[in-house]
Amino acid sequence: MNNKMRGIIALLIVLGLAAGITGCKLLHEKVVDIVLRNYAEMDFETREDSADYVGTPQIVDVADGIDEALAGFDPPLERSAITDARLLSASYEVTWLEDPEHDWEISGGVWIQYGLAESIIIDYSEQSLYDALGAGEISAELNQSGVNLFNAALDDFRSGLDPVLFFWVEGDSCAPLPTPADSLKFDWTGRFYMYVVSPITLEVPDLYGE
Amino acid sequence: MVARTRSLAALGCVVLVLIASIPASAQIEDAISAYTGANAEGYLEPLAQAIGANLNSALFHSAHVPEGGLHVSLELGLMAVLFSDDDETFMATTEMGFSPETTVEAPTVVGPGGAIIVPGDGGTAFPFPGGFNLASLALAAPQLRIGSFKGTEALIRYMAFDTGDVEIGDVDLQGYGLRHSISQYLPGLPVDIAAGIMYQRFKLGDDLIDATAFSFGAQASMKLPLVFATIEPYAGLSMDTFQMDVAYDDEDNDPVSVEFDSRSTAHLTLGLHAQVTVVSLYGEYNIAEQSGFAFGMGFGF
Repeated sequence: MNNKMRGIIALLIVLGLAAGITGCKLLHEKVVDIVLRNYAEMDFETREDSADYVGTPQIVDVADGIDEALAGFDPPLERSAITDARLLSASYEVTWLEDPEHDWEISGGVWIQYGLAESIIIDYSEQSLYDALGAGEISAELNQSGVNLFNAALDDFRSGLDPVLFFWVEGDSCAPLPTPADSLKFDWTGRFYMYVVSPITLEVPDLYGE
Repeated sequence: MVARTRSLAALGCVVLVLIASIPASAQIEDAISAYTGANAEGYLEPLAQAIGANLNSALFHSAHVPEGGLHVSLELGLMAVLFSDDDETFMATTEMGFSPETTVEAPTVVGPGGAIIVPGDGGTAFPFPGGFNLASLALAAPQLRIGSFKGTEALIRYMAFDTGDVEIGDVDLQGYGLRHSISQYLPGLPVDIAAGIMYQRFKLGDDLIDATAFSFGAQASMKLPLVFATIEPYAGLSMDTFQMDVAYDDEDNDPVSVEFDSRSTAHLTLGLHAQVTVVSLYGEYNIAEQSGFAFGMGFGF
């Protein structure tokens, strides 16, 4: 191979690389599963004179928060596009205790009602309010049948309904026992974390994509 | 007419590479908003490596630095890395009090688009978002080479634009470098030798990505005049350093900052440069922690 031929081949290689890249299909359509997480929050005030009590139900509109998260996406995501929605975890946080030096050890549960069905969703046993105060969010132990109700509400949300959930607290035991002279007074916040997965289609630059 | 149309299409393609060389910053931000801490770092790791590799490529295509006289060259470099299977996943750990804490292989930003769902206690589940399913990531940058003073030349990379409603995110790239001819002190050498340094800063979006790259090394090349062109094989060995910070808001709109560890890597470049009058073309392969290729063209005298 003479020098002239070598030169031509070398130049063709360089030009070919350039032409190959500039002539390529640059933008490719990709489908990406985006995850949006949200939580339903409820504040409970406990003012009790006995160990076994039933608190006032808190109402949670499941659709509200998720719709807001979907609308916040650019472009907004449609409910019908959601491929999965589930409860992820739950937590509780004691935010106020009337007398921080006076400990109480409580047991009971948080109940959920959806439609006509109701079930316990969080079990708590021997929870020291003294320890919980200022400890931040404490992971809650979830009960399967209650989680199923929550997930059923999320499925109905995906179907276009606006499910409303009711939550309330039922105390089982408390040490020491509350009395009118020494009543149990504390505030706490419960959070139920949920997620939705929605695929989005994007035009993404990818020189060697398919 | 056909040739003109093709030329315009090619030019359009290059411009698109310039303005859309990586996924829209808003889209990346949406994808990682579900992540915090170590998971965010793992998710974005291939992107950090690719940007670092691209920034430190196409910095030279010859080791010949004239001793004096005015030499100006306007160049456009296109740098790209191809992702391997290993780049597609990372070991991600469940967050947000999910029970039981579980570590699984989840897609990185360049990985498959499908989410990974991990089943948990009591009917709960935890999702890891999908990736953008990228086979490659390219970065294009214009650069100006000016010399020479006592065998020294300067290289300036600059690109800044506001993409407005395009949702790619504002792009800002600035780079400054110097190279000095070593072969001028070694008369009789059959090859040219030079040594240089380069500093670059790359920003994307509203502080979504803020990266700095530094490279120093030596290059060698040999000019082979061939009829109408000059062909010049070249090679370079450098030490590259790269650091990247990522900042975004999580789902609660709380700011999240991810600082990638500064990393250094040895970098070998092998390339071929062709020059015809004032036009030069070059292609190179870069072997480093993240290998890639680059090519470019320049106009100069």
